[in-house]
Amino acid sequence: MDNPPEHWDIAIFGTGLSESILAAALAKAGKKVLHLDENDYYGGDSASLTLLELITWADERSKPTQQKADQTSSAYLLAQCKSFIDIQYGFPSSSDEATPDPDFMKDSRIYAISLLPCLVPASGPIITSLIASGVSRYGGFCLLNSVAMCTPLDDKRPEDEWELKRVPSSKEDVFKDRSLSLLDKRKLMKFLMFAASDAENPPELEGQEETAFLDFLERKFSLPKSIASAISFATAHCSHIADKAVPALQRLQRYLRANGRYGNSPFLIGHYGGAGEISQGFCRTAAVQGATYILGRKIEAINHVPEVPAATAAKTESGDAPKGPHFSIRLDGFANPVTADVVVSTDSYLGYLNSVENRASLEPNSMTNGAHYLIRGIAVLGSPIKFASAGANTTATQEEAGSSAGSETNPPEEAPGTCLVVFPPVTFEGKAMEPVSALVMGEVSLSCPTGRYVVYLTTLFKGDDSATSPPNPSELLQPYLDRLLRFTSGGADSKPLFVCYYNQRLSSALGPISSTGSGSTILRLNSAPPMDAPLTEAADGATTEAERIFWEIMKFKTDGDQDIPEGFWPQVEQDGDDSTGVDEEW
Amino acid sequence: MADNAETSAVPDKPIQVKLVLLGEAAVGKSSIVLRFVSNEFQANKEPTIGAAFLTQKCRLEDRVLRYEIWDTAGQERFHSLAPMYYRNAQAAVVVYDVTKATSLEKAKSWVKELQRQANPNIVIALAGNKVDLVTASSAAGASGAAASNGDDDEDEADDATATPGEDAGEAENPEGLRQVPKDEAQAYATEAGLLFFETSAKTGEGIVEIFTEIAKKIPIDHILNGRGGASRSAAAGAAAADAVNLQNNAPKGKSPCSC
Repeated sequence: MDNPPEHWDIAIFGTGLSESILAAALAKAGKKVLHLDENDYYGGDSASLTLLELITWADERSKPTQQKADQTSSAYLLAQCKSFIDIQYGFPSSSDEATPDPDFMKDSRIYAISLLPCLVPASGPIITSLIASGVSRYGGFCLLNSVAMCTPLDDKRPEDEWELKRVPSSKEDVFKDRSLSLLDKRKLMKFLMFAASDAENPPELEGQEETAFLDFLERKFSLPKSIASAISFATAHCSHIADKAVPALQRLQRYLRANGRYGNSPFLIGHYGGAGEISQGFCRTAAVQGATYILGRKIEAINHVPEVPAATAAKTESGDAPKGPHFSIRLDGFANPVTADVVVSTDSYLGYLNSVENRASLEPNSMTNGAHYLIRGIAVLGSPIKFASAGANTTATQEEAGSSAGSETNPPEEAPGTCLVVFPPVTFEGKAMEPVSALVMGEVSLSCPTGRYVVYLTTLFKGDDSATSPPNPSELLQPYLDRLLRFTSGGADSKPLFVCYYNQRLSSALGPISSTGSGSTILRLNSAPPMDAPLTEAADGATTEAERIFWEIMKFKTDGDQDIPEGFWPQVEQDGDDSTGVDEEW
Repeated sequence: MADNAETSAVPDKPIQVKLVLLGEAAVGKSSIVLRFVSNEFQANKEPTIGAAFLTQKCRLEDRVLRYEIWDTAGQERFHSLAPMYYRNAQAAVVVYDVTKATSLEKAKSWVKELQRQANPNIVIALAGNKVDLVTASSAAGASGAAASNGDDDEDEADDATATPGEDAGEAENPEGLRQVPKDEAQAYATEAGLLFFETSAKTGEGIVEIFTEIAKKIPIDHILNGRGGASRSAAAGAAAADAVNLQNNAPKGKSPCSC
């Protein structure tokens, strides 16, 4: 491509959720933004993919490690192969497990399978940003319908029968729940009042900084283990058995307050795969504000140019060329490199950096042993999860029961369009298992065809200094999927139409990279989901990270001639900016 | 918030129609919308910045359609349009420039892309814009604009007809600027099942007609029955009922301990 030399204030590598929010905020603040992604789809590590795209995604990330490939694979892909490991997929219900049923693949494009499944708290940074940026008008959301706990009937024998029980989602639900004793209800209400209260430094928390949340609930509020477990894992969404009380309580307080804002659930699910679609919305907003998008181009190198060569400086009459130290980015098929003052990059693109002194410290390789991983599974089911509906154990359902005789033996069931099933930690064959969550999305989420359900299984693997590698994801998660299948209308014998398992590395926290000299800098954006509550905190975490980088850039770019914006998003759109709708009839 | 108020104030509820614009850079996509929406024309318009989408109502017999018109926002420049752009679009206007043969080729590839990505019932109109340049009255002043449009072209080098036309500069016979014969484009449109118009955003020729003809062709009952979603219109309907609109639902100040 015979592109003219072009210069940008900021080049952002990666179109994941965090990067996209950043691009939109910078573009709205008047910066000239170039946004690149080596994939030919938006969303990077938070993309929503069709089935075929997901299979390609999996193949691309598993092959280079098997073959020599170092020459042919891009630095991006090699980095991706370190972030996403042990990928395996199959089609269990197909006659040949390795090849899909063609009928099943016909619907490939109707699927929007998320690489970053998330529940969006109804209030918090991402919702604020969606509204303030106007991106909320591009995409729809639905509520998370139900939360359930799946627990062994006998704690000591997790290999036996498990039961599925709805977690009350409102005060009324708690009162109606017949499985709770009056005393337990009182204790639970007392705790919930405490959790939602504004009190600063409540006496209950004194000296509890290091206490695990479960212990705290059992000791300070004398809650029985089953209730403490439901609060920790299904309400505060702890991802680890030893999660600390203070951060868990902070999350819980936010979720309790979020409940009721948009309906009877603290959480929203984005249509069309959530994070990937939201990323596209932010990218469109950035583009509308003048950001340039280049997708699906191989990046050849990112070079730091400490000084503008005299020859280039001479051509700088347009004002559209670098005035000082900058980065020069070579793209496959582009005759001229593009340039930018500031580079923002996720870990996957750091391999392209040349001549930056501290490059070595940026490489994912050099990260310490004992990385943490999310163990993930994706499954497509042909039938819904069913469990007792909200009022199943209550007198309130007798009206319904009257109309459908024989409901004594068949308590009313619901097959929610979206639900979260939480498996609390258990000791299985002498091994302590972390909590596992299964987020189920039906067609109401617009991410799969009618009658299909996409299940996202997630659990945390905490590495330690002994450099242990994460377990085989399918061996660990498949028993949980099997347990879940028993509660589908298809029954225990039904097989998923598709499964994919992988381990996602959570990058260790490298600090922001020091400036590479005056005039230009590179900033490392951490696009990995958080370790604590990855399902409910990922979207807010991505927003907070985008905001952090935004202010880093604003601080850096304060060369006097530009005003620092007052907020992350401009106040109100004074100039009719977005909806210029003239709306006149003719 | 303001536009919500507007919507609810309308007596007979207009039918929302999402319409997307496609076409090579600088063929006049935004100018067509600007002409349609506010009956204006800006010569030397900057590349699109600043409008997420524009809206315009269109009355058709007893029904009112409210077009929500999405511009590419420059994301077409490096072929980076997001699937979200095509999602649930019920209509598309694919624009080319009658003075530039390659722009019709680009338009054809956009039509293919729409047939691949968009909902199968989408109504597509092909618009050959800048027809004022090839009609005697207004050709002289605007020919410069046509010649300056070549900046973003990528893969047209092997097109024999591309260059001479642009060099024509002050053509005495304005028809000489034309690189896409009307009947050729019409034949392609008929074959591909597209509506076809030659338009001028500058004079307004053909603009209103495009949107009226699209309005006539849109399967309105289909939209009313569930947002016109492709093979899952039932789901789209269900989702629409369940959907949460972040802007409509201001915090309700419900008691914090509602759990």
